[in-house]
Amino acid sequence: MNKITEDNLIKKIARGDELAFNEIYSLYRNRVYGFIYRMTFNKTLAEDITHETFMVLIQHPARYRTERGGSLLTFLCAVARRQVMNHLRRKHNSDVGFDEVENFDALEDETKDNPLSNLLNQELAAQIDACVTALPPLQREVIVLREYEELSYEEIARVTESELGSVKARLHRARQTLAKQLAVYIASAKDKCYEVH
Amino acid sequence: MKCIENKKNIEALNDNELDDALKDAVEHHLQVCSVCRELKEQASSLSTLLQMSQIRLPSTALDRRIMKSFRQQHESVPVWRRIILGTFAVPKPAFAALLILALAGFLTAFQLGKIYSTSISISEQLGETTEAPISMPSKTEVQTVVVEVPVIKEKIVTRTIYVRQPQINKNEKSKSLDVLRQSDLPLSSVVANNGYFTDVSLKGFQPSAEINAKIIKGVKEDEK
Repeated sequence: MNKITEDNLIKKIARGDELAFNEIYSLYRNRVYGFIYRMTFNKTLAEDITHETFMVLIQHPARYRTERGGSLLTFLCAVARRQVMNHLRRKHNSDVGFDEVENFDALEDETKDNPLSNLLNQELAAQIDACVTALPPLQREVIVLREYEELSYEEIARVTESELGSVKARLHRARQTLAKQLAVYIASAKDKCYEVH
Repeated sequence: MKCIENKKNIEALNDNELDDALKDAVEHHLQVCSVCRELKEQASSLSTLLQMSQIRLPSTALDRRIMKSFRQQHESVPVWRRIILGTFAVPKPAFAALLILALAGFLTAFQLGKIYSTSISISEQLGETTEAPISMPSKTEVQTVVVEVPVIKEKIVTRTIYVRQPQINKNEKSKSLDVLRQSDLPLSSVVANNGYFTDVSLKGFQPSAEINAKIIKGVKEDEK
């Protein structure tokens, strides 16, 4: 969706057009939720923060300005990030941990054909999530935004309100940490050996 | 390109963040350097591995909650407000601060003018003239005009003090004009009295025996 279309939809949202809001919401719901979930690894909390994020768009649609640069996704991610960081600061990350059981449930419905493959995939996914969760928040957010949300370095810098150099440095450190922790899986991932045939 | 330079760019190459020239240089180096090629493969593998982590989609309850919030929000806001304020946002604290500042500015200007304004009366003791003396026709009744006098530092300066001659009969008109011609009044005159300077414009008017002036800004009492 280009910026002009987004801008028009935002104007419609400001006037109370439900269809326009639904279009924006459907487009960005999963990505915003995904970013928040990977930052918190708590489903209920991620849904609450997603709700709060879209409430900002509902109550103050004019806060998003296309002329400021950046897409609506970066705006929503920036709003979500502020909420997540506030939460992490409040709770000191004490009660927001990796919900292992919840994560194992994630793929349950999708791949029922091959139980062994499912199990291995779930174990691997759980291991990856555990490693991502263990990263410091500033490194975690850049790796999530780059690897899962597929934002450019410039967009990540805008979302995190950081310098481009800081983004590159954090991303590099995060990748180094993950590479060490997931070293045993990396070689296998190339061949996707966890797909049992 | 050396390996140490290339290592910095491998991640950027994978992320498609290099410009064309640098991308060509890095790719060329990768063709000849097996160490860097291995590093690139490791970086690619990590990205592939991370993609294996999948998350469950948000529940439909979230969708319902958000859409309900949207409806509630727009039901509570009047249509006129949505149209006017919907397209731009002024943060409430900033709006309140602007309102308070405007109100304070208005009140200050109003109160200052009221508090510091005063009237002085400069009567016939206008002896200390620096330029042409002003002749006062004693018998003529004149209309006194009160002029507000802005104060600059300790001195009062008026730009114009007009003292209009009262209407006279037709019979006396010619005589009066003769008097005006004979008086040969200057176009303007500066009257000094106790440090107050008054610039009096006399063209077409008769000087007054009494001049009232109003000081707008405050001055020290002893200087009045």
